[in-house]
This record gives sequence, C-alpha cells and structure tokens, in this order.
Amino acid sequence: MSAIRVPASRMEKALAETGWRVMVPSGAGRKGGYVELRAGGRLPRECGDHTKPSTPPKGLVFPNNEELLSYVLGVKGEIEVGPASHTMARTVLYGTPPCDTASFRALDSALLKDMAEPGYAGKRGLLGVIGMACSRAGRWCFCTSVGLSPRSNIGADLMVYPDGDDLLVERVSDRLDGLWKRLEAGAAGADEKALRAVEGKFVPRVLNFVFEAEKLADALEKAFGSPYWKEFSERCVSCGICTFLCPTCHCFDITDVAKDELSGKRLRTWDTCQFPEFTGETSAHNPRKERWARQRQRVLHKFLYHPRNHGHMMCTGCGRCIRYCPVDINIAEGVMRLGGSK
Amino acid sequence: MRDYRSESARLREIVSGLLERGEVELVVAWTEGEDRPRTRETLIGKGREDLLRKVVWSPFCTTSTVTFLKKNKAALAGKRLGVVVKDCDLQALNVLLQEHFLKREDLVIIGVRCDGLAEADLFPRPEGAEVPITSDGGGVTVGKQRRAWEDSGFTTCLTCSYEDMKPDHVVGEYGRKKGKPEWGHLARLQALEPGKRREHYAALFESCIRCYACREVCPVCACVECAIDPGERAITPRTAPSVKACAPVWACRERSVSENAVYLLTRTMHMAGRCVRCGWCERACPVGLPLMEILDLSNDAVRRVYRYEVGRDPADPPFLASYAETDPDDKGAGH
Amino acid sequence: MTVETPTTGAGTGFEPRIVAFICNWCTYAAADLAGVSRLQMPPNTLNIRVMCSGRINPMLVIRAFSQGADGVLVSGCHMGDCHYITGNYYARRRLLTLKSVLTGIGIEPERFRVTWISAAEAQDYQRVITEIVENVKRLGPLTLFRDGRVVARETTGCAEG
Ligand code: SF4
Ligand code: SF4
Ligand code: SF4
Ligand code: SF4
Repeated sequence: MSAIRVPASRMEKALAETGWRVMVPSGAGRKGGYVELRAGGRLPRECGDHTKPSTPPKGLVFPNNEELLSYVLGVKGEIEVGPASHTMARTVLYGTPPCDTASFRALDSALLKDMAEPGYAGKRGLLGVIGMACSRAGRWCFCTSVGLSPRSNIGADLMVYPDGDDLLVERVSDRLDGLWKRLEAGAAGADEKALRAVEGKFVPRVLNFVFEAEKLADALEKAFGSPYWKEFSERCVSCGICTFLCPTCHCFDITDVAKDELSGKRLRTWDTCQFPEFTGETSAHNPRKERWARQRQRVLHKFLYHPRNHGHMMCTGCGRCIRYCPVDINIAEGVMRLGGSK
Repeated sequence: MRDYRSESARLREIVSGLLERGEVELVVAWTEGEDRPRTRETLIGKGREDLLRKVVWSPFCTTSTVTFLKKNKAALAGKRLGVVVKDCDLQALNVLLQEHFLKREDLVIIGVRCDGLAEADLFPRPEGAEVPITSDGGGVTVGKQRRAWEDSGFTTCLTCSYEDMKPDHVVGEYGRKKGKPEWGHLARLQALEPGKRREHYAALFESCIRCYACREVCPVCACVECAIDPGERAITPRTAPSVKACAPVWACRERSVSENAVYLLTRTMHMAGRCVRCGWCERACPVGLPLMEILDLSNDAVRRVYRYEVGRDPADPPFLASYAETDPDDKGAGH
Repeated sequence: MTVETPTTGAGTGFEPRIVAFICNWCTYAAADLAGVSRLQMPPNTLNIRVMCSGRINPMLVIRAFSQGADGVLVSGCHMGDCHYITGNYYARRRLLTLKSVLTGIGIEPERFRVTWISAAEAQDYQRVITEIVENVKRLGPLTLFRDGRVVARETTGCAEG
C-alpha cells in the first residue's frame, strides 16, 4: 500500500515517538524560517505562499557557515588537522510546500549525483522530507510553469495532503520507512481514487508568469547574445538576495581563516554568482565583470545548463527571487521574454 | 487628495520635453513593470516611447534612482542625465555631490513631492492599467484598497522631515504635513541595561546572512571598493608584501556574531553624516533585520549632538571630512 | 591576530586586555616618560604607536574589540597642538561618533576612551591607564564579540520566526 489516511494527530504522535528533530516552516516572509518544532508543538495543518519563509530549507543540509577542517601547528612544527563533522541530528522536514520540497531534487543532482560532496551527503543522509500539498499560491508563484504543481511530490519522501482533520499520506521513497511503519499500523488505506480525489482539492495550475517549458532551453540558447540581458539587469544592484534565498542555488566560497599564527580553520560559506568577485581570477581577469553577464548566468544556469545536465529545471517557481529582489527584477519575466512564449 | 495618475502624466510631459529638446540624453525614472503597483528604475532615451508610456510616480516608487546612478556610474559617465528624485533621493544625491561622486552640471533634477512611501506587496495587484492610485493626509488608496500611512510598511517615512528642496523641475504638491525625526525606538532600547542591549544587538548581528543587500541598495553607500570585500586584486608570486598589506582582511567570511558585527558597525560608521534615513536597507534586508536600530545610533549623534543636517546642500562639507572647534570631547564614563 | 592576555597580571582574577592607539608626538612620549619616571601602572595595555590620532580609522577600534580587546584607548595631542595641525579635530568627531554607536549597542562607555595627553603629562597617562584598567576589570570581559558564537543555526531564519 502506498497511501493511507490518518488523523493529523497521529502524525504528530508518530513523529514524536521517533525522537527525530522536526523542522517546520514558522512565521512567514522576511520574519520566517524553518525552525525546530518544540516538544509538544503542533505541526502545521496547511502550507502555501502565506507560510513560506524568506529563507529556504537548503541551509539545513547546506549551511551558510560550515567548518570544513581546522588546524593547529604544534611546537615541533607538526600540523594537526581536525576533521569536519559532516553530520547532524536525524531530522525530518515537515510541511514544505512543493516548491521547497522539489528543491532537494535539484540540490541532490548537483551535490550528490555522480560525485557526492561529503559535507552535503553526510547531512542529506540524515534528512527526511515530508512535503505537503499547497493550498494557497501567492502572487509570485509559478511552479506550474517549471513542471511542478501545488500538489506535486517531487523531492519528498512522504507526501501529505491535508483533508479536514485527516491527512492522506503517500509513501514516495523508502527513506522514512521507520515513520511510515508507525503510521501504517492499523491505518485505513487510501486507494488511487481516493488519492486523486483529495489531490483534486488543490489548485491544479498557478497562473502567474506562464511559460512553456518545452522549447525553453533551445530558445534561451539562441538568446545568449541578446541585447535584452542589459536591459534586464541594468538596475540590478548585485546584492545576491535572489541567489541566497533561492532554494536551489548552491554556490559556495571556501576561505581559510587564521585565528592566530598557529591555528585556524577552513570555512565554507554561501556565495553567489551575482557578486563581482565570484568569478574573479588570481590573474585579476574577471570573465563576468558585467552585471548583465552575471544575471545571464543565473537565468541560464537554471533554465538551460542544469536542465541539459539533469533533465529538470533548477528553478522550482517559489517566487522568492522575484518577491525579495529590491529592484523588481523578475526572472520569469526574463524567461518569458527570451523563451519565446510571449 | 493627490491623484498620482495625473501627477505621472505631468511627469511624463516633463521627461519627454527634456528628451525632445535635447536637454538631456537619458532620463532615469520609475516605470511600472509586471508586478504592479511595484515600480522599477529605468533608463529612458529619446524615442523609447514604449518605456516613456510606463513612466510613473506614486508612493510605490520605493527604490532609489540615485542607487541606479551609483550602480551605473561608469556607463553613464559624461552623459547629460535627467533624474527623477523623491525628497530623500535628493538628499542622497546631495551627499554624493558633496563628495564629488557625481557632477551637478551633468544632471537635470526632476523632484517629485513625496508624502511617504508604501509597500507594494501589501496591496493587491491592480487589474487593468487605469486603477487610480491616490493618497491624502491619512493613507494611500489603490482602487478599493486603502491603508493608513502607519501600516504601509515604511516607518522611516513617518518621521521624514525633508521638504521644499530645490530641484530643477517639480512635480506634485505635498498633501500631508511632514513629520519630525523621532528616536522613540532608540529611547526604548537605550533604557535597557548595557548587557541586555548587547544581547539585543548580538541577536541582530547573528541573523545577518551577509548578502550585503543593505550596502548595495543604499544610495550613498557608494565606495567603488568596499573595505569589507576581498577586493579585486591580483596576488601572484611576485606580489610585493607591501601591496598585500594594503588589503587587510577587516572582516572574514565567517558568519559569526563577531564578524557580522564588524561589517554592520563599519557600515554604520561610514554612514555617519551620510545616511539620509530613506529606510531602503531595512526594507531590502531579506531576513527582516531592523537595521535602522543600528544606523540611527549614528544618525542620532550626527543630528542631535553635532546638529549636522545631512544632504541639505551640495556645497556643505561632508560630516566626517569636517570638524568644529566646539565638537564635544570624550566625557569618559559619563558619555 | 588575537590580542594575547598579559601573563604578568597580579593574582588569578580577570586581567583585561586593553589596546591603546597612541600618537607618536604626545601620548607615546608621555608613556615613555612615565616609564622612565618609574610611575606604577597596570601592565594590561598593548600600546600601538601611530603617527597621529587622525590616523585612527574607526575600523581599527571595531577590529580591536572583535579580536578580543576588553577596552580600547585612543590618545592624541591636545586640541590646537596636533603635529599635523588638525588631525585630532577630525579624530575627535569621528571617534566620538563611534563611541555613541558602541555605547548604543551596549559596550559600556568606560571601555572606549578618547583622551588628549601631551608629551609632558606622564602622570595623566598613568591616571588614564589605571582608570581604564580598573573600570574594565570591574565590568568584566566583553562578551559581545568574544563569546565566539558562530551562526550555527542551520537555517538562517530570524530568531523570533
Ligand atoms: S536580488 Fe535583484 S538586485 Fe539583488 S542581485 Fe538579484 S536580481 Fe540583482
Ligand atoms: S530562481 Fe527564484 S523562483 Fe526559482 S527557485 Fe530560485 S528563488 Fe525560487
Ligand atoms: S536608510 Fe539605509 S539605505 Fe537609506 S541612506 Fe541610510 S543606510 Fe543608506
Ligand atoms: S541586508 Fe540584512 S542579511 Fe543582508 S547583509 Fe544587510 S543586514 Fe545582513
């Protein structure tokens, strides 16, 4: 059986029994974050743009500040290297909207597939994602344009569809089978029809910024030399909000921080293709000195390069970059303009 | 009551007149984009009727055209420009003129009389282009949605006192009495024990993700190379130690209370006598940090202790590049 | 580089670390004179000689605090006596604005002092150093920077979220 119907309270109980750390969206917008559910705290009963925090969940497995190693120089000149701990408490992310849920597919394909990145892999192995169908799209959402939908379960291990006081729970992967077994015991099964029926309660399509995914990559490839990039980005201030807050952006910087002459550490921090120094080379040459070139990189990475390499877009349509861009630069507007849909 | 549709029409006339007569090559003005009532700064040249048609002035012109000038300085150098400014933008422009960052003779300044700004996200997206945007002493109205100034998202505008600056062209008339700079939020914080205050600010520093949006959007944060950045320098085996020494690491990339504090305190200090309290940094911060709580510490000193008026006149000396013999001395513990 | 705790301090109590930026033309000479005259004062300061108090960039003070100083002193020539005519006037405005900001975030005013001490005023130098060390001893270590708190929270949402 791959779907069951359980009362919402049962999910709360089953999660508490596992003893895992549970992270839930809390607060919304700039004042929100994915935070740990306190003991006895209630799980969210719905999700949507109104519960979406400005900071995405990627920080859980891809922290903004991560120590890769530390070193101490001993008296005899020997160097002692302290290894990094690529671990965290066993964690379940609960109630992520489909855009944030799907972000893990994009992150996994970049950081796990082919050649696993140890820092990410270590933590990712300890994370389970329980996605939730979205009941309220916001004015910046465009998940259906990027091949997702308010009820898609991509990236989730379990997917829940709230239905009154009940939850329909769908098993998507085996990663959370420990929890699934607790839920399944004695629960009413839900067949395909019941699942489709409750799915139907959620918005099928989001109508902001509609573009066709089909020929997008080809159209964008042709638009590489378009003069529109300049107009698109002339007011960009290179703040990087669009990439720091993007649930799928995963660029980082590595710096060695000397504490004193004898000890220090190597840090990994979030970086962004929007900073001019990002592509700065030691020779002082910078291939992306211009803002328009950096904006083009952001758009093409998401809608051309990543899809070519991994078969899905590196944008989940969450709309954060549009909403929080201080100067109203709209990635969907650029894609619609250059992707030939409008 | 002010009707921003008709004021926008007047603004369009002025802008197109300037371009037609060849008085300026380009104009920086706000236009409406996809996400109305949000606006964006746009560079408009002669013949760009498509953009000219969208030129707008409303309380949703929350971005700064001066930031646009700062960001595009190199590309616009030597061009004669028209620039549409609100009162706080004009103050910021004056600061940049004082510092010879821009040249006054290159600019034709079109001032819009501003009664305050409103956060576009708080209003529903208007359907159709002709939805009226109006305001009066009490608040802003878009179509049927009305909000008081107090809950329109811009706290700095409530205490803005700038008016009657002298731009070259004026659009609109004030429809509301301007406020006074007010430091109530500081007084509340300063009433706390130092230890408690440190905790309050440590929490603020801790949440910063170091995106530097506060710096980038600020119209007067205009250094070509920020001391906080690693900088564009080539370090090769042949780089002399003396050259390396010129680029010290003031704040490393570690996201810690201490390093974040170095960044935010340094910025606050460099804003002394330059911050025009436009509030854009606070509004842009993606994690919603109350940045005015820290910037106002220097703003308060500059305005109350030194009685310095920021950006009043392009001929004034910059605050930190001037002094008075009567400036106060350190009173030790009794500061 | 971090500021080392002085090892010569008396007893086992808290020994503050004070960084003193002192001007070559006045306070540095005063410190020298104080030494030659065998004036007693606590050994907790790390003196850094600069050519003028006008050279002190607020970032130097901020950095000193962030790297572990419990107190910072900047000392230059009396107004009107600056070797470079006006350096100390600029310094005064800049550093006292910084002091307002630091006091505002909860760094006690005793921890950051700006004084003017001429080459002849060895006793003033002794008094200022003693005062600042005693005051900072009473206040204890400066915790804002030194608690070494790294932003460990894995998601970076706001605390109250
Ligand atoms: S958020 Fe906007 S202004 Fe900032 S870098 Fe991204 S596109 Fe540019
Ligand atoms: S590119 Fe923008 S809309 Fe797409 S996932 Fe990233 S933040 Fe969301
Ligand atoms: S309020 Fe912020 S953005 Fe505005 S001038 Fe001051 S520091 Fe700059
Ligand atoms: S905008 Fe906010 S998060 Fe970004 S650097 Fe400034 S204070 Fe930090």
